[in-house]
Amino acid sequence: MPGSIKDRVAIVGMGCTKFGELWDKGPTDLIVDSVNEALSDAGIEMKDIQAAWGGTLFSGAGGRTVSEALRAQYIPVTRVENACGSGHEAIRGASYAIAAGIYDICLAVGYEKLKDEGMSGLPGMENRTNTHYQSSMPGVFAIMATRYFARYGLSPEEGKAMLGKISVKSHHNGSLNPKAHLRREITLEQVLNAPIIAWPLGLFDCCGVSDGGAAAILVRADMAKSFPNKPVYVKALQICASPTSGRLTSEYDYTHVEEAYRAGIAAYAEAGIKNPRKEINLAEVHDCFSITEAVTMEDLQFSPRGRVKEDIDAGTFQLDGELPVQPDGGLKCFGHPIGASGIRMLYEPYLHFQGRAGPRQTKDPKLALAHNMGNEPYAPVVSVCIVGL
Amino acid sequence: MANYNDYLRWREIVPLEAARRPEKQHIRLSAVWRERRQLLGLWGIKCKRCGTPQYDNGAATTGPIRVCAVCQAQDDFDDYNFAKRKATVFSYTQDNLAPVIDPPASVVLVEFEGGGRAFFDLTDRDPAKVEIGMPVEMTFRKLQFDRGLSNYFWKARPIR
Repeated sequence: MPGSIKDRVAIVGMGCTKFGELWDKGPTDLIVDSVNEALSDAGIEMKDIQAAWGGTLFSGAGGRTVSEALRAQYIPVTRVENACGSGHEAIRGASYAIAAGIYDICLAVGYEKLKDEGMSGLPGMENRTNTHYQSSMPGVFAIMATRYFARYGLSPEEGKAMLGKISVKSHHNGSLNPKAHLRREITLEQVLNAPIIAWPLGLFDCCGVSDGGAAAILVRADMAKSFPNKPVYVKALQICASPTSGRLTSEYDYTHVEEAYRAGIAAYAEAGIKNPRKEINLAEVHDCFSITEAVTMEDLQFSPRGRVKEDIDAGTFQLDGELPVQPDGGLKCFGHPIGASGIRMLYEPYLHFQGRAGPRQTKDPKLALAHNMGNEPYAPVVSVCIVGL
Repeated sequence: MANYNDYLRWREIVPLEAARRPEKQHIRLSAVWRERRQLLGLWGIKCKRCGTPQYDNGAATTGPIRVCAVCQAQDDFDDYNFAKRKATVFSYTQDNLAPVIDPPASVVLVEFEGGGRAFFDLTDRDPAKVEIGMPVEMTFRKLQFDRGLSNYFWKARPIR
């Protein structure tokens, strides 16, 4: 019987850079700036950190990228990578080491410098035989949207409008967030008239390509109250890796992400949550594309299967709705500097729990969920992290 | 072919501005040689335990299947060929970001008659006519010429 992380580890400091096309900042700046904010937030110094985990996919190999940037003095530092879920993987490494009783105070930092690639989109991934079908990441998620529309009888116009409202909502939240990359309100008309990236996904259905860094200081739960801020406790941290059978066999419907559903179930069990929609007060999910957010609402059991449209139309996930989703603007407005995103998703609830979220502040939240997803819908690794007071 | 401009572009007689996407990697002859049955013959497997035909046109490699995706049986398969099997489009996208010579990249997830599912590029197609349920067949194509080596693989095309 596996153990549980619940209430054994607390976050006592967090930092997050502004995300965007940060032409004047390199990976070192993203690491140092986010870690400095987290350290000062926790009222400690780098010398207090006993071990560190750095999450990145493309921006440097080995723990050295982090230790070198911070001139960390001979402590253990590990680079972790779980595709786009690398941020949560860094949190997981630090949390589990503390829960195992090895360390008292650890650092998790996620960062990615995407805008030095000299091209659009993400860098290419290895294909050993050069025979991969020619789709971009928007393409493989677009294929899920095509299928979702067909399965639930949505015309392309209805489907695109459903997805468009997701982006309009996130842009509203992003407009209230000084750290977001994209800070303009958009209209549904703009979304529907935008150029197509990969049919049926248009420009505003896709998250930005941005640089950014985010960091968290994690400590033993019984020490947490000795730090200046109200601690936020890790209630659940579950990842689920795909056997990737959905690409080979007809069993997979391509209108949901099985790994998100299963990681959600495991995380709810770990946190003792019976009714996610009622008990989760806010959620940051991996909205790399609008369709991803739509199916994730169903996978995490916020909306019944095939019926997320009703909740989108009802405004359930808006900032003033029943269950605010992407209160900070999400990947949609922050962009997706790969390793940073999973930790950025925890930064927003952390601020809400401490009453520091400004115009985005939600009322008395007790539990928040962050969902971090790597790779394609048929082959992902998904992490669900629940934090709370 | 619709017009002479397309011919000039396809024959690489008129140079195009490079896509702002990663260049194709060099051909790795060892990997292409190792996976020659899957790549050149479109050979997959049929699991002896559960009977499911499978072809793995994977993200990291088009490679051999060692463990059945349905019942997890290991190395207990019959050879199974997909090259002459018809298939239907289960879902698709028209991708404008992918760096292809005749955008958009029409990428299809197909289901083979008799079982098995895989992603392929769709070629010889009118993008406006691609739809779910469309019947396709497999066609052997040259994908890349690099440092004296040619790379071949299969694409789907609408049944004519």
